[in-house]
Amino acid sequence: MEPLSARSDEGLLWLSLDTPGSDVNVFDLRAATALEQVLGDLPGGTEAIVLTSTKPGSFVNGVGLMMAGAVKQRGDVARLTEPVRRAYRALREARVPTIAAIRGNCFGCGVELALQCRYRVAVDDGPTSFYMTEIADYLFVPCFGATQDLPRVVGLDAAIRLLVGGERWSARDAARGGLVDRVVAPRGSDEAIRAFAMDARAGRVPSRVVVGFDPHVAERARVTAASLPEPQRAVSERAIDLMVRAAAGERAYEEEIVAAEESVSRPVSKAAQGFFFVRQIAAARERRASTTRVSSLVLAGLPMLADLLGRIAPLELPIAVAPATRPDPSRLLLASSDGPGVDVVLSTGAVPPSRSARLRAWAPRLAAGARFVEIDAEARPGLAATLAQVLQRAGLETATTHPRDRFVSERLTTALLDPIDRHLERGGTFASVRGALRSLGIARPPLSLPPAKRPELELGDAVLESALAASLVAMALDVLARGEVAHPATLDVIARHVVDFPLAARSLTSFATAERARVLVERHAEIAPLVEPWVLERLAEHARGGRDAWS
Amino acid sequence: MHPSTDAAALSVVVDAIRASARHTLPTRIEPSHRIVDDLGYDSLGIVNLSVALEERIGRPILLDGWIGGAASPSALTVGSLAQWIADAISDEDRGAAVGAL
Repeated sequence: MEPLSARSDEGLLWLSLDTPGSDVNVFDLRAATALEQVLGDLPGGTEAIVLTSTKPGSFVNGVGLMMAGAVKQRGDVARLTEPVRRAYRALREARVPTIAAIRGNCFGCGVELALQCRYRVAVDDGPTSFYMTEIADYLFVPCFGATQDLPRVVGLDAAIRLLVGGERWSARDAARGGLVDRVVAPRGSDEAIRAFAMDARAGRVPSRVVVGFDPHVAERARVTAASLPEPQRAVSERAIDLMVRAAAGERAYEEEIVAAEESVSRPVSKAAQGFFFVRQIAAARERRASTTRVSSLVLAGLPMLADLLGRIAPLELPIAVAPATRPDPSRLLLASSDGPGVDVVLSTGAVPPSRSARLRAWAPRLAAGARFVEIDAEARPGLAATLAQVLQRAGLETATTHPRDRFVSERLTTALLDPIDRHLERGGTFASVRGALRSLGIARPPLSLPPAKRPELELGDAVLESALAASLVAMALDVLARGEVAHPATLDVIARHVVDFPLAARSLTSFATAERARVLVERHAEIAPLVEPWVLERLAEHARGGRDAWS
Repeated sequence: MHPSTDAAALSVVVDAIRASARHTLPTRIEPSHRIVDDLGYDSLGIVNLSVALEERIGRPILLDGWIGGAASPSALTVGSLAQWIADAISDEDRGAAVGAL
């Protein structure tokens, strides 16, 4: 099976990506070689090229972390990525107009691939989203031109929000932000893309380049970056510097590769790359077959989810927003509060749904941008699996759990907040709380603190930092011991979304080793006033010969 | 390390590859086969391989350490994975895992 197929049609060359062996497109060396070859020997009569995907839900999800994982020394990034960069260059230098027709996930180097095309068209459906994974997920500077190309296409402000802020854009967001030239409806999208390509072929579509930038944007971004925990701060500042210079007209593709190399080989980035595997293992478990089939979905009182779920509707699942009058097994009813005939109570607020719900789910930080839902599968496992699949199709990450009393999300949040509460009660300052969170690597805690005036001058509080680590580790051990999650990866995903557990530590359960417990127990006397007694007992037990969650 | 343990680790790896591969595999999988170049694994394929290994070893396993130890993706082989698995599991656990085969 070939990763790229080519078809000519009235002067348009359609190149469709379908990389073998995976549900999503991974633009690996084979795909790169295939693209370079076809671009080097264009069929006669080619007047425009449309790059698209035949994989449902995926344009390009990545180049593959295997290459990033192998980088160790100077020259490795350039060496390992050379075939991919050659293919990107061939696309950028194509002698005819090029159009990226994006349907599905367009992540990281997929965005960079699309940026090599003269035009971009996106299909307005649920899976189509644009997200720069490099800094947000892996703590390294990208190496296929994002710092150079994004500022010129979307402007410096949006480029920083995408690359450093980790914003996830829908097709409509991308059109508003200038990342795509046109959005087309899912129904009839092939014809609409074709019409756009014919216009591009005829030179009837201007290509966009943003010139100039507001210097305050750069200053604001630098101030925000300075307040981040060290691993994010270092990589963000480097990327911002490259983007500001690109926005000012400088070309620094080679320097971007050096920055990528330096950042990708740091231990914090290696740990973050490790979290990719944790997250995907959790996702593989969440995807397991569901027993309850659903042919339609009825939403009641969930406007935030209606927007997300609504976009999967036209093609995959009929969705109604009014409450159904009668329970119907083929329909899944989602509501924000209990009511007659409601299958699922999904809360997006600060308080999780009550136990009276037939199936309860909680998206504790959806309003804060965390696309994550915890589903209590204790009562209705089959329906829980179905709900997980529906939510995943809308681009949400799910964690199916078996909580004894409180949701795991709530227990983890408490584990983070309790030591902070005690610290403040004992006269601790907000500055020391901010400092401790930053030292621990938590950039977005589930609480609001007054902003720092000079973040770079704030010192952490070493005792609070240890108490926070102890509290989170003990809670992780307790959740695992009580079987509230079936797999450590599930808990890791919850911790990432709910308490922003740092990528630089890979994951909560891989952080919660017996060795870590021993180190924390040694600080028993200092930590004790800031945690409940069971926390230190649990750590001592683990230190005495507990088995680590992962090999 | 006891040779039979090495052989057991290799057998677990080969079995997990057979269960998780999405490509057509060679009739006989050798320790020298390259996971990416010869057997067609990408990073998501490695996730499936981790899950298959976990089902056989009986405990969660992360392969980022194995990947990070190679000079390039081409240096990741069936044999290097078997060695890494054997090393990653403690003596005590290894006894249990081999016993479970």
